[in-house]
Amino acid sequence: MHMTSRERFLKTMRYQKTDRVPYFEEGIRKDVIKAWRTQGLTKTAELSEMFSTDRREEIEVDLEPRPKLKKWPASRNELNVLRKSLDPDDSRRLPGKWSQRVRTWRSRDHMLMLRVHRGFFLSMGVYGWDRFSEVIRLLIKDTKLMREALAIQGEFAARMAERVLAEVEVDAAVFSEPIGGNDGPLLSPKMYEEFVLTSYQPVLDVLNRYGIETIILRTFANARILIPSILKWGFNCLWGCEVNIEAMDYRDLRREFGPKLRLIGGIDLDALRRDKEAIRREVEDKVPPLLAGGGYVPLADGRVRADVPFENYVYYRKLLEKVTRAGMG
Amino acid sequence: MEAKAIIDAVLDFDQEKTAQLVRALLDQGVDALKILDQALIAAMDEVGRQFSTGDFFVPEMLMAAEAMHAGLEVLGPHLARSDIKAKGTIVIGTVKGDNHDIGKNLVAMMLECAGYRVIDLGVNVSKGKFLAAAKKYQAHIVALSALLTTTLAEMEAVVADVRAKGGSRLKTLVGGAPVTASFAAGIGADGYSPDAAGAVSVVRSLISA
Ligand code: B1M
Repeated sequence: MHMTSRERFLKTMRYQKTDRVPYFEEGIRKDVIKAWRTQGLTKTAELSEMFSTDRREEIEVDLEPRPKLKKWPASRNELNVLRKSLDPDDSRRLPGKWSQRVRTWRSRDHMLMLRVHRGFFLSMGVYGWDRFSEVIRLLIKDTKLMREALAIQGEFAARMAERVLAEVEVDAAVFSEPIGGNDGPLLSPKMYEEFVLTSYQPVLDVLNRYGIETIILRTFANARILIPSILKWGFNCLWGCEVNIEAMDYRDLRREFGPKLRLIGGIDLDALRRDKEAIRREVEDKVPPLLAGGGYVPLADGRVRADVPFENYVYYRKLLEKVTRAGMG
Repeated sequence: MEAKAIIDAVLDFDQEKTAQLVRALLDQGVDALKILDQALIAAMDEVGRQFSTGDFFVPEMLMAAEAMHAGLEVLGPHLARSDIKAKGTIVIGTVKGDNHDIGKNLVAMMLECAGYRVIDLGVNVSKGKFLAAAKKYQAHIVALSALLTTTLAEMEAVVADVRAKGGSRLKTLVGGAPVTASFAAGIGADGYSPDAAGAVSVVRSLISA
């Protein structure tokens, strides 16, 4: 039974039998490859040819206000400025060579996902402390303004998702939630539901209408206490990146939430920075039980950077293949 | 002294009421330091407690801190400089190569609310600046934040610098997303906290040690 990368992903997420687990590309950047070329990666060698690799692609539509806001609305009267800057019909919001891409995606073999939302903080224009504290203040002092601003973003994101889904059949949708802490999210589950998840509802409605089966929360923080809330809203997959992994051990999540929550990631990148023994323990302890439960794509929990020695990376990839193939029987 | 009303006002994030109640106590002749310790700092201790039990999150913490600040502003002119200095001085910054400051600012804010004098050096702060500021302000603690794994080495270098040249009184506190308790111990930092509220108790124990 040989499967395409796309079939492998879809079946994994459906808890069906696959030929093997998907091995997602880690998104290794050029500077890392350059460093590895001095550590044994030969000039012509390609990682995707050295190891079994499943391609994944993400459609990133432009969800930023256009033109950039000089000042974020400070009262409800000013919300029109935000509304106007989020025009879903603006053709520049779609990635370049759109029609051509749409055509090639129709016959693809790889997994394609759509990033539908950039998360609470980024969508509220938080890139630094001043706007951060302003937004936090609004959450408590001007809840109406906050709710309306979020609703505008939610509606806009929904229309953008619809624009894409009308033309492309994607395999998953991703809500990204980058700003948070290792110790936990910045907002309480109650506030996250009342403000953020409520504003995602129009997007979730569109995803349901188009039958998107896998709805992912990709978090860069310890989002553990938000999981019951996201499940309630219809998310069914968690992808944790750059989170202190002890705080969000996927084996614990599996025990607690069972198959309702599909999982991507979970392998501590720090082990790859350390040594082979740390990698062996990390992969052998964590991957087999998760694999046995299904609905799991093993992946390092962050971007592999230049501080990971090439030798460790090779060892990790080989071991991952060995352990996962053994796990599939 | 009616400290409870002030504590409640802070916990209700009510800046105006906090300021008004502090003013009323001052008018009654209550000692400013007593108001600071028994009402405003006590309120922030309660905020820290509720943060650690998961009842408060960052928005609640930040808003309570702002209410506390409103009280502090009224109190300020009545406090002797020595009152604040006596609690301790902390030099804080994000280490060189790192521009992340949201977490560091929350830590600075909580420390200020706990009555410490906080000298915030900002982001991308070089090793030498930490030590120079610590000497200039006669600091008790150099507090370092790092968000990038690539800047952890810089954190280690600053801690080593402070240990070598800072004298035995000057302590170090470290934190930030990639920093763990074992990393902190490994580089010889005197204290570590995973979050802003926890940083206050670590500072207290370091300064009283
Ligand atoms: C002294 O004692 C203490 C004690 C406790 C202490 C402490 C000190 N300091 C913090 N704490 C603790 O208390 C706080 C509150 O409880 C906590 O603070 P935190 O800071 O952890 O938590 C904050 C309250 C909320 N969290 C944050 O504010 C950080 C959020 C994330 C999304 C983040 C942001 C916002 C930003 N970023 Co940056 N950014 C990410 C972050 C992902 C993440 N979730 O951590 C991270 C940290 N960034 C990253 C990267 C790579 C980068 N970023 C960059 C830039 C930025 C922005 C400017 C866009 C923005 C910074 C805005 C700002 N003014 O701070 C670049 C670096 C710039 C530089 N030289 O610093 C750039 C290199 C991206 C690029 N290619 O340009 C990643 C680091 C990867 C790694 N492990 O090294 C990253 C994990 C995101 C990712 N996965 O890619 C605790 O850690």
